[in-house]
Amino acid sequence: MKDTNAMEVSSKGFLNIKKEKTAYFKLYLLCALTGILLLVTFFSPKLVPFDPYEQNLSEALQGPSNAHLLGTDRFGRDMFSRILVGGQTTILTSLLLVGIITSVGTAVGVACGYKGGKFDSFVMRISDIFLAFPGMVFAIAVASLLGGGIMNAVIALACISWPKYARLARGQVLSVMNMPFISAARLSGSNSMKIIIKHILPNILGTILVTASLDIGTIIMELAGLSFLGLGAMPPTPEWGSMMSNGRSMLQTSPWTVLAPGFAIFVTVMLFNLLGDTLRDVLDPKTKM
Amino acid sequence: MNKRYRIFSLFITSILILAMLSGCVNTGSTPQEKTFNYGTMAYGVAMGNVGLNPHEGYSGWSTIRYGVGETLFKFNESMELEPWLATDYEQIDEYTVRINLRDDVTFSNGNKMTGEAVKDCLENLIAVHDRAPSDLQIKSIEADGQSITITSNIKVPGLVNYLCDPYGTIIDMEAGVTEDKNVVGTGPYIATRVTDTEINLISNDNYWNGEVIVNNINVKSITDGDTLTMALQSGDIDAAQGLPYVSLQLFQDDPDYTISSTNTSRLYQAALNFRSKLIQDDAVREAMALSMDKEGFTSVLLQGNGSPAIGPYPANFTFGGDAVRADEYDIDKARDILEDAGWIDSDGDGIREKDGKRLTIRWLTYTSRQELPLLAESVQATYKEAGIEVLVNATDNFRDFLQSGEYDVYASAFVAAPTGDPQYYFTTHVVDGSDYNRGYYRNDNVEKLVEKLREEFDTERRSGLAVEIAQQVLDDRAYIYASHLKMSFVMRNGVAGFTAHPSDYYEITSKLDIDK
Repeated sequence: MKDTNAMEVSSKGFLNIKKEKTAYFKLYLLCALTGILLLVTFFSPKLVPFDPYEQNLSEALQGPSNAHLLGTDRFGRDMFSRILVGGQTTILTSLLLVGIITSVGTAVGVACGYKGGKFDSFVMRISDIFLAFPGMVFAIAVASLLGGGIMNAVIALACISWPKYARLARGQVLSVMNMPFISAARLSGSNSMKIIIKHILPNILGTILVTASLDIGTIIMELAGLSFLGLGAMPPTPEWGSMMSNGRSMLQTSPWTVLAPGFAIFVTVMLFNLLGDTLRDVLDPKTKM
Repeated sequence: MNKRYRIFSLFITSILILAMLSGCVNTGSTPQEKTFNYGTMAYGVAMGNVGLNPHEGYSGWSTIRYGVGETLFKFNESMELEPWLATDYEQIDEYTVRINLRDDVTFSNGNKMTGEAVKDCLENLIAVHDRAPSDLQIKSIEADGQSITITSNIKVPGLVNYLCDPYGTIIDMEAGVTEDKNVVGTGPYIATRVTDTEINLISNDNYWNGEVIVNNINVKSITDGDTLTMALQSGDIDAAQGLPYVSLQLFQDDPDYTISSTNTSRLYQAALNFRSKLIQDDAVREAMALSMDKEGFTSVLLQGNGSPAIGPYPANFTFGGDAVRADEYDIDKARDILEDAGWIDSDGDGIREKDGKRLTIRWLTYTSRQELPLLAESVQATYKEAGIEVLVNATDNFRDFLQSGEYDVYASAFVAAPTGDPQYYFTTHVVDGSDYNRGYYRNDNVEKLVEKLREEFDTERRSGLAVEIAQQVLDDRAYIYASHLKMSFVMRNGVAGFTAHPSDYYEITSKLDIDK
């Protein structure tokens, strides 16, 4: 009987090791692919075969060819070049937005969780107000008030997204606060800032990072959505959402104007979502059990 | 049991046979009702024309377009006046006009259209409408049998033209306006249901001007161009107005569809804001006028559904087309003018500077007219070639920006000659302080000429004055006129008597027919 149990445990252990190895392999692979995507995006102005802003009306709405891999838009601009450069607007802005909401939300959440009391209640009620509105509708309202522009779209989305991180961070802080090592740190004379930076943040950062990585795909979609509605990037800035919106009426006549940016969004969002999932598998201890 | 079962079976079978035979009975010679489903982008809250009450905003456009009402006079294809509910008019003196009415017109509720009814209608119009009182300047209306006499506060040479504006649609004030903004008119159709998104109509059996062929019409507001295209393709609607230009080519070569197109006076224009320091520079305005590629915009981006504009009026008006001169597209000349004026690209980034100020134009426009963002993007590229940077703000929240003055250029669409007369555009766009003078333009000579135009009754001299004013506006580069719109109706085969009109007023008439 004991032998059977031992065998089961060892085979479970073997399976866990195999699973973990696969997860790490997936993580490295996805990190490499994301790295390539970010590198291409970052250096896209150097890589593009045509000036993405240069109009050539005599070549308007040309289908994909050797000269123009993904065809041209109605202004005769090369779609491939615009997709590459458009990645800068879409991906880098989304990463900036995720960075902003993660840091602001986490800072607010940590402050609330650590300080507690009336301050906590007051800030959490404010976050409740933001959470009470349907997210995208609120973002559309804010972006409409501020006017068009990618930065205004970032502000609009930041307004609706920070409370999620604030609540998450607060919850994590509250659970860590009861741990003995926090009491030990207090007894040893550490001040609040030191406790937060050295003892609380390292313990909650994993969860926050996994959530942030899972959110990148959603944020890309939301930003592209606002641009699609004309509330994001302004012409002639190439942005995948606004490119899709501009080509929408040509879906039947010049489908490449919609399919190319649509495919770019699909691949990017899928890549970031897979990366987020894999990061969770690797970093979250619960999934290892 | 068996016998009872047989009797029951026989009874059921007999009932079923009788029911089947009753379906074969000849129900007489009731002809099949004809129904026309029409999808349009031009009806809805955003257009300011919901409902059918002509005395409210732009709703009169819907009253006329959908065949519910008619005006005293109308425009023909050449935008010349023709009698409609009236027979003729007589200019008694410079302030008084007598209009004689037809004797055979009844409203759709059977009431006769008399001088008194027309008087009531026009009096209500000037009491409640926002634009009509200042256009018509009516002091008093006298009714006498089948004629009315209108006396004006000031000389209004274009009075009869103004009465062709859809707000001049004659409705029965005795019947009034219902809560859902329905009215009783004299047109070939009667509205049975009016909402912000749909109007249901039935034929007016008492129509005074011949037989009405189609029995039912459903006008549906479809504000998304792709939805409209697919609705026509799927057969949900029989005809469509306002299809995106790129969709038109889907129907152009398809033998199952017919397209009716016409040039209109709908104008795409850019008003230059004279309150902006940058725009006050003559060289900048001239370079901007020279750098707009109107030909490329109309032929490629509008796919031929527009014509390059020289002045505010299209070529089918005597005072329009090449009656005026404007700057032609010439980037090299624009560069030279800017260079001579001291605008030089000192940092080599392609954009010129002067006294440390960058030549950046804030271009404000809106998206509900699909052509305007295209114009903005087209200009962005051509202006850049001349060394001018354009920051586009294409937003439907544009009114806030207009109010705050945060723009150098405001690009918009406007029907320049809805009354077939030139005065309307000048009094709304060019005169100092006028409603749509978004560039805050003022020129004393233009003010004097418009005053003259207000008092001139002779048509030829009015045309001459219109040309003079338009030329002055062009010389001052107060506006840059991009193009005039070509309007198209697309319909499936089997629809007849449905043609686009240059005035953009008349759509559904008694001549409309459909094969189902």
